[in-house]
Amino acid sequence: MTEKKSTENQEAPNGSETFTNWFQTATTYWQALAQQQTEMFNQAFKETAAPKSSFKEQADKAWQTGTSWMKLAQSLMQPESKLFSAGGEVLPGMLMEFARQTWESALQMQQEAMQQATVFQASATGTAPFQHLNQNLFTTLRGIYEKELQKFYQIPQLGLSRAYQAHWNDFADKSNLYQTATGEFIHVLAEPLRKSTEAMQAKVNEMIEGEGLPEDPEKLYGMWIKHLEGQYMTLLQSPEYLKTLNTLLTKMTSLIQARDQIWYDLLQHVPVPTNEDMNDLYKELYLLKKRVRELETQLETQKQEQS
Amino acid sequence: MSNPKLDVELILKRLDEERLKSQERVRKGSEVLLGTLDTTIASTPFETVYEEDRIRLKYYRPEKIKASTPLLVVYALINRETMLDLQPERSVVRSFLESGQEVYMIDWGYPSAKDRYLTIGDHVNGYIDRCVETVRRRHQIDKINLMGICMGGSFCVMYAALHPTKIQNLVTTVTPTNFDTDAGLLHIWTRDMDVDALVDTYGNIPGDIMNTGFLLLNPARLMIDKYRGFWSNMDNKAFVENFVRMEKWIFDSPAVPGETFRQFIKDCYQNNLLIRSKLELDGHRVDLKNITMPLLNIFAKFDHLVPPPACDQLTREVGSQDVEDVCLETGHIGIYVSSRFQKLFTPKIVSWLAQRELSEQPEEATPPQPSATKP
Repeated sequence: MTEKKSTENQEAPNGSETFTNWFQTATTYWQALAQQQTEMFNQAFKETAAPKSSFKEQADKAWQTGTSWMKLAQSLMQPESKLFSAGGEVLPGMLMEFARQTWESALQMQQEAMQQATVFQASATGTAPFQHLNQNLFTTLRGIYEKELQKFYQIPQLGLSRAYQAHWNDFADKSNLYQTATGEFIHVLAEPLRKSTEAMQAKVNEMIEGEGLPEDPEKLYGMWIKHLEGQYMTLLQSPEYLKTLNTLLTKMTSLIQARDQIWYDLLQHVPVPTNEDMNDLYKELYLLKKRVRELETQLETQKQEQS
Repeated sequence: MSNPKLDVELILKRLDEERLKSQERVRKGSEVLLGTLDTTIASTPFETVYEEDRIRLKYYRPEKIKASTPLLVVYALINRETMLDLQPERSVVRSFLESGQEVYMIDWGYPSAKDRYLTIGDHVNGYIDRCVETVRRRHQIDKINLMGICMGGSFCVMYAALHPTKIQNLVTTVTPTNFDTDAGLLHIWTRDMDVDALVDTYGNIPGDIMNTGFLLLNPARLMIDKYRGFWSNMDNKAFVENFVRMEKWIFDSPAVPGETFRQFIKDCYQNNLLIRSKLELDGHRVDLKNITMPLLNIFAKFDHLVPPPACDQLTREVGSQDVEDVCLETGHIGIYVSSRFQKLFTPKIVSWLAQRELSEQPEEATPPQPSATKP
């Protein structure tokens, strides 16, 4: 029986080591393949005893150059080579970090969904409150986004086009926030529909058990619409609705401003006036017209005084 | 559990009856919808006597002029003044004309982007004042009668306070003047609204946003029940025509000039300056005590947009002693579009104005003089 090697004390490989190992393996493979191809090629020419041709020499040179580049790349990935090791370690590390955070967020959302499913079952038996859980889901979504993902859109941009990149990132960020706010608003608006439907179901069951359903189905509709109207009247004055409405309006205006900034950037490169250009013009026109009317009034008054 | 008392046969019978009715209704409804429908609105003839920028002043002349003082009607900036002339049998304008009242009406038009910097002062001391001057010039009179509707009424209150010497009688209908109330959803919603963000983003507030906001005031009735009612009556040609006219009007929402919207929300809805006589327009304070002419204030008991508490304080705050409140048991636009309430509404205004005709005005009304249509 062979002893199994204990792996307890071995450290888990980090991202840069994994990347290095992979790159070494890949270059070794392609180098070996290139070597094999070269030998096959040489063998083929030897066997045919073809005269030496410039094509063969160039092809040989091309293979040699390719294998040399691969050898160079492999040597650069050695631990003692410091030329690219720093950058090579950072990139995989960042990717791993991003993947880790996304994975953790996904797990957290899955846990919330599982919890919701559990409470839904409890609600069906009337043992737990239901109405606030969906609201928490939006709060959770927003929290996860703002805590874990939003910062990637706010990374400082570099280079000549940094301003444009930053505007695009801002637009993407605002778009995500707007989507969440819209989802939450629609969810809040749909709540009275759910409640009134539940209430009608209970009422219908009661009627069936009691005096029976009304002969005219219009009466049932009338009851439902009145109940729905009452639910909306309660909701539309509630602080919850006001908060959701104001959040939606804020996110909507932020998104439009971010979108307009994109349009502004694009329109800089075509001979078309932008909204800002036109607004400046409108303001000047407005002030000019006002001034002209004031002067007309003063002139009229002076004429009347003189006459 | 006891056996449910459910007459399945009866339910199935009812469903079948409903199915047959629906089929017949759809068949007739298709004929109606695919046939000729008269859905014209604002068909009463008028003459445009003044135009400036996007606005025009319309003049409606009665067959026989009985009232000596013309009436200038100022509608709100929200929706269109065509509501007063939706159809011939239910037209406030025609009612006035039939009683011999000359009517001028401001058509605010459709604001464009260049109108975004117009303030309330530009509307009140600018456009309304120039319309008043046009009417005065045409009739060669010192004072005219002024009537305002909803936000237009708020503008008329401001105008009458700033230019009391030009107004003989003031009529306000469903006019918000007190905004410190929770009786209306608009008052609650606008309290914490970031109006600066909206105006800075949009410039003019789009009509679609206004429409969406009004629909959300009562989604059950305005988005579900209303169309169910249409479905139930789509085989009735007259009903369909009236319904379409109302739809045409209600979704015909011009944009609201940005700075006007900003000022109206901040100074009125959020700070309630108007009823406290603290509102300022173009550097001049709007003091309600300057309203010394007779005031008729009409409002609606079931108005969900401008509830009674938003209207009924005005008569207590003005300087005039000749004031009257009239509360009609209807909704915000029921006064104008309900045939039942039109029979109360316009005769009341006409008789109230007739009682307050200036004695020094000529007994026989003078037809207006033609005037230039451009400033």
